Amino acid sequence: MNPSAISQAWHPVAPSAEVRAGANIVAGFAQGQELALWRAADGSPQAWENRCPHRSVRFTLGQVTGGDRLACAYHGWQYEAGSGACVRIPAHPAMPAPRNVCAKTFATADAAGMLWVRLAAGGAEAPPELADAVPAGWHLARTLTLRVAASEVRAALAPHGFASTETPDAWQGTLGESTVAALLLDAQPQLSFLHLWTDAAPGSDAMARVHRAARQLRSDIEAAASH
Amino acid sequence: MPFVTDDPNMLDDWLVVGPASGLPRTTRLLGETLHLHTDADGTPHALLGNDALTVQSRYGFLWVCPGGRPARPLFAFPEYEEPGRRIVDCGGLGVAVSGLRVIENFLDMAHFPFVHPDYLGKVPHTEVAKYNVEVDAATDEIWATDCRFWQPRASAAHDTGSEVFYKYRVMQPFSAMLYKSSHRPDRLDAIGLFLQPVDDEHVIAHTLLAYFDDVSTDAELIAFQHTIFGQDKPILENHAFKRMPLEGRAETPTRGDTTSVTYRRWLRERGMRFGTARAAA
Repeated sequence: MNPSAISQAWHPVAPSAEVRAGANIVAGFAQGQELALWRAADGSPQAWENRCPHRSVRFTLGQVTGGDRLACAYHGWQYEAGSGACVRIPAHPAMPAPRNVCAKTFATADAAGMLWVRLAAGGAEAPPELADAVPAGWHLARTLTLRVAASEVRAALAPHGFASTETPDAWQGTLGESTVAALLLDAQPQLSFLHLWTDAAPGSDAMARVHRAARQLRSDIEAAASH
Repeated sequence: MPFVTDDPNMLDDWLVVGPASGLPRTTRLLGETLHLHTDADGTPHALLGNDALTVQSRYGFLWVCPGGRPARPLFAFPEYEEPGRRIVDCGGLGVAVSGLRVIENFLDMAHFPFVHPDYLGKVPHTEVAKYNVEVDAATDEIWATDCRFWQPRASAAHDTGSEVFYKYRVMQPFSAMLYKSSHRPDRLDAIGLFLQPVDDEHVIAHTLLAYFDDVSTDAELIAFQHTIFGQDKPILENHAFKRMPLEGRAETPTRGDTTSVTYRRWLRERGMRFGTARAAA
């Protein structure tokens, strides 16, 4: 991929169901950028730089409050969903919130059961191919963590019988005896995630075989990378 | 050249290396391992390899001047010798962040209701009233006075509390003192925070109490300090960058951050480099 395509890329940072409306804040990663992933009470997905602009404490220690705000754990500063603008500083309750204090926000999209994030500030909307990344009705087996660069994973997937698809960094192949859709996330320089979706039923023997084969796949890729 | 920094703010000042008791032992300072011991007559020694470092024993701690040419004497701590006070060493606890951020946390009241709820503060009593901050020209120490904050009463059963008065003092980049109302109406308790800089992103935090308190046991006082510290530690270890930025606009203070703003300016003016982050582009 050329550099501008990478910066415009939509990264599958988490399964959509893992980030619950008005509830939790999930740590995300994309190309070395740390993210705080959450949803307002209306379900709208938020992906923010994981850093409060006050003293740089990670937003993931904070909590969702009032349905549409994220409160930092350190001093309780509140930021609203959508714009990321600071709307309340508890140390000065009567003071209107300062205009120039803002969480850094990234564009988000839910598609094919995944939450996707675009790091480029301006850019194209989520392409329609994202919705085809995982066939309807499939289940998430697991998200595999590999301590290797994304380039190593890409190079290893074809030899392991995976074929690339229309969606960037989405691959199809077989694990155990089940068909699998593998979505690759370049998390950090030596950290990649592979979200593994399959038609095997949760709790079934077939799913157990998918898991065993997935662990073997990771061992193979990490062993090859260390040589 | 030994040590992980050549910053004179570190090499030419007195840095704490832990208690004067519990010797001989080894410890870490500015990226190096030191061997500490005393002679039979109690004279302390600090060795880096075969080299003897300049060292003194004060306030129950050993202090080393890594460069051997101290620019100033160690700060005054009159409360340490004051009759009627009990001195309680709360031990040294490690924190994986620049010591500058630990000092800044120690000077901050706005986090009390969020990080120390039911102990030092409670929502909705979150307002930080205006207070006074000055740099003492004679000592070059920072003093914050007229600080006050709503603190819950000991009983958690009712939403009762009162204003507690604080003073803060910064003696060195890595040493600060907090003074608050004591059991005696006319005297303030003192809490000293002396940070041992292991490297730019790690410290050992030594806490010393100089209290007017004939009621609590040592264990109770120490347990309370450890509880507070245990609440601060996950916050301190989750700054997205561990070193403190002294330049740039990555971090925005507010009115209640006057002590911290003064502290950062004071560090900038002394050319502090150790434990700081270069500004992002």
